[in-house]
Amino acid sequence: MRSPQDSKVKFPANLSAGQKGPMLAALYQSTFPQLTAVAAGVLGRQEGAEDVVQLAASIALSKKTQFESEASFLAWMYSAVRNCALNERRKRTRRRTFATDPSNLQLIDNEPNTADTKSVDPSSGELATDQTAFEDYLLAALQDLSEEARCCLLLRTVHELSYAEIAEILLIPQGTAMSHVHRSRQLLRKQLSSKKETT
Amino acid sequence: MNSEHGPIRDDQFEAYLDGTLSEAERAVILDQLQSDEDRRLEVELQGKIDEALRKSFPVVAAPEGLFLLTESDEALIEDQRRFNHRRWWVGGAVAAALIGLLLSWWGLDSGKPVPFFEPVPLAQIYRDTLQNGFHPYYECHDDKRFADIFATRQGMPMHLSPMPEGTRMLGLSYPGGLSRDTTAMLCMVDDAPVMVFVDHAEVDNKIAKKDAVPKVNVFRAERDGLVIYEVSELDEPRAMKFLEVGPAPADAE
Repeated sequence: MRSPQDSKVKFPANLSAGQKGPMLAALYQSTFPQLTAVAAGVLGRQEGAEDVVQLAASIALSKKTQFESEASFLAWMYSAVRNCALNERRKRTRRRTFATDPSNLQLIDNEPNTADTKSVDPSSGELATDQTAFEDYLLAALQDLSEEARCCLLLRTVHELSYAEIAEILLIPQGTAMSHVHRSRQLLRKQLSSKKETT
Repeated sequence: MNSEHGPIRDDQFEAYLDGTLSEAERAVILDQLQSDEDRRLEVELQGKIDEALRKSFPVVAAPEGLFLLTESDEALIEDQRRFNHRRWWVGGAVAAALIGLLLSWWGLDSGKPVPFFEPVPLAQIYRDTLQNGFHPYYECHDDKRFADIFATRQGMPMHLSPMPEGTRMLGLSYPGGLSRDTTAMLCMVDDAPVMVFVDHAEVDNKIAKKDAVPKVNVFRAERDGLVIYEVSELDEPRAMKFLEVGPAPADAE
């Protein structure tokens, strides 16, 4: 994993945008999985995370002459991905405003969940065929975590990064990163302990 | 909770789940877990949550069509910059000429944006894949889909002949390497992670074996116009021989 502080390479002052391009592209390629994890953490789901990273990269394209080092590029990219993902999340929240009778919502909420509950892929509208009800509950429970906590949890659990690396990527202290992960796990276990048997 | 060490504290328990305890501390917790059923259930549940997280948020490789940087983009940006600087004093006629020039330039084959691609040493990709958990991009267990992927990317179908016990294919990934179309097969051979890279022989590049990673071996073979590399810490190639050109025998009939 390459975090901003890992990359000590400083670009020569006379390097043209054309020469810098391939270096930045290689960096982008190697950090794409972690960038996507940050986007997914902010969004709260995987769908749309890659698009967010691509959007941030396209903005970086127009700014590449400003990057003096690999570290500055990576720091900028992680920050841009977070901001783009936040914008996307806000857009989705706005789109989810329905003019629905609250009593109907209550009715739906009270319906018993069945073991074969399936979620719908928001991009294709198709049922996610191999998604279990437990994963549905997990995705719902993740929405109760803060965006920063979700990012920490994903970078630690899925990408197996050290707390030092997570701290550098998210610009937070290591202790905060660890605290986010531990508290998130506790909260998820608490919320999902009653769901385990139903799945 | 009858262990001689007493109940497990929350911070100790979280550190145990996190894998940050020393061997000695871990042994104590394991001992305590024997008599603490609630905590044992929590460990089981946490395992299930972690598994579901990995499934719902898989590690994704960079997309094949990496349009981040192209030669044409460079020229386009330069042209745009010049145009912006002069637009206050250049008349409409000059602007029209410039647009015409750009349009004709786009029409030429040489001006077409070509996706940026830089070959990467295969040992480096192997190391990065290991660091990311050695998860395939696509867990392909359907012979026809498997063959179709190679037919699409390498121009000819491929199949796996039966593998012996201890050797199994995990799936396919598209991590680049020799070209944007390089297809990689992830395998486990006697619990050792192995990657097999396949691409057209004409895109073979000496960078494939460059920048050797310590203890990582790169083996090469050429078959039917394809170049096949196997990368692992094993002393000999153990997986590439099972990858054969042509559709799976059942499909071929």
